[in-house]
Amino acid sequence: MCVSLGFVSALVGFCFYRVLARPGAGGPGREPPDTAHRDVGAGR
Amino acid sequence: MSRSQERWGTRIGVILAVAGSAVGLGNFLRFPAQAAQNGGGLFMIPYFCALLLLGLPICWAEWTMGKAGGGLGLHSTPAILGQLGGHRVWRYVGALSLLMPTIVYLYYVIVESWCLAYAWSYLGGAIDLGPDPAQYVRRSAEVFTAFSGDDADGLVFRGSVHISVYFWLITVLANFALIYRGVSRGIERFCNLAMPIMILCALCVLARVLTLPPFQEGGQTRTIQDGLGFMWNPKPVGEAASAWVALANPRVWLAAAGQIFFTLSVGFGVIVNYASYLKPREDVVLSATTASATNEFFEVCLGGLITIPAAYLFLGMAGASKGTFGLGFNTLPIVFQYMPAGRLFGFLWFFMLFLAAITSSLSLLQPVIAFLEEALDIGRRASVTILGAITVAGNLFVIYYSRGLAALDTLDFWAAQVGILVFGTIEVIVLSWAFGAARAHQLALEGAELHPPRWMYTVLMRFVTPALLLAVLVAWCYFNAGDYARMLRRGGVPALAIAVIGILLVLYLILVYRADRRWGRAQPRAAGRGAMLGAEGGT
Repeated sequence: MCVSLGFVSALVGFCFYRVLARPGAGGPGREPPDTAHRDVGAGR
Repeated sequence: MSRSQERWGTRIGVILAVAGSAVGLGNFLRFPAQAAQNGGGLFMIPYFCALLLLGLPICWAEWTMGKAGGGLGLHSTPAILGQLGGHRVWRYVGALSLLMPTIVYLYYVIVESWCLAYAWSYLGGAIDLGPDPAQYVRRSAEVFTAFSGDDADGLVFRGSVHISVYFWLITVLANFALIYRGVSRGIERFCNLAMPIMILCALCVLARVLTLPPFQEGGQTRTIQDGLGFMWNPKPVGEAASAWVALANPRVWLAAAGQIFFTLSVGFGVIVNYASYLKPREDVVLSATTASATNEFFEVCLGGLITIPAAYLFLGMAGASKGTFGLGFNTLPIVFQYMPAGRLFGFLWFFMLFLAAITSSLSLLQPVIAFLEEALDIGRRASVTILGAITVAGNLFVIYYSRGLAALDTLDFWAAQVGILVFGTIEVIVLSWAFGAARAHQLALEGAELHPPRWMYTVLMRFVTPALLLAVLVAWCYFNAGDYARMLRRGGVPALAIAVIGILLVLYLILVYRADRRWGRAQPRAAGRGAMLGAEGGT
């Protein structure tokens, strides 16, 4: 039980930490900046 | 705003909407029952294996497909599947992504209305099982029968209009009012409100359950720790001598894979549709993982700690060993009757279930709405009216044939157990083989905040996940198909339910045919970005 609860809690904590750490995640009209991967796939 | 410009308002909004779609009755009722029946704590080993090898890869695949489709101005899964698959035949295969959500909605909204009816009844004090504990089981079954009519066909239509029909009407109107408002103003705003309320309600009930005093019955004393032990301690399955033998039982692995599919809402085409409303270059990998993790939190950390432990405390092993509906609508009212302040916690519990169900049922409607608008070039009002007419007719079929919940069970079996496995397999094969795993990986990396290694797409999604899915399908047929074929040969309501599925399939194939002729070889707005995606020009 502890392993399962710990794993899921850690996963959800990590994910929301990453999502909320980024500006514009929760506010409408604030676009997040482009990433280094902006050109991946371009020109294909 | 035209439908092709419709977008989610915020990133948290889309994550909560997808998580809301995934979090439903299965998290609180189906998962605990499955875990308790399939080895207790040991069930979590195949469960997490299924999550990592099947659930997450398919989630990523669906989000990637939706992002690709949204970039082309497409929001319906048949159109997206046709574009990414490189052949118009995939549009017809995509009819399954319309069929499954519709079938599930036909019965799901009725169960949703039961939750609303229970919540309302607890609030008004109408659910009281009386002073005699010996009568609780009988009284609880009577309450359920009063709402569901499960002891005779057509029960709720006899005489005057039954109270449960009013709750059904309210639930249907709420669903269609929200869906009419659109993706951002309807679904997203509602999920932003509903998800935090659900967590609060669940935490209140969890706190109450974990602090329950020991319960004495027939000279025996049971504690909540005993209940947690019943749910989580490894235990043998069936006649097996050792708990660890459960891991060698294919049925346990099959149950775990089925639960993961059901709980994550994969294989319905729902996530493909939701992800198509993402802004261009928005992350999909972290968003998909976050939505899945949120669903797991509701399922494992809340569902796994509330339902079975509370049922075991008051009712022992017999009460805690019921199936989904037995646990939810027969056992739990007895638990709330025993529990101090049970009326309040009963209301919180069933209101939370209602919110969980409505966030899911909205996601079952939206993919079909998007398809109708895209295929027939109609507006929101017309698409809502058409889908409303279809689903109300189907709801009435399920409500009428209520004896033993036979119609509901049959629809659930074919859509939520078989159909999603089949369509999930098709989706992964289209993305990783027809579209190309490497291309899909590049597309997923656009704007990504988690960077999955290439092998996760080119090896895991291309080979491992489809192979496991096919193995699960074969195993499922081996264990279940014979029994079900025998039941169908007996005719009756299950055969009628199959006929309803057939009629809906034909209807959707005709609509896809009409859309295919309208779309022709070129998809709307496909030219520019379609070239970038590298989709072949076959559609």
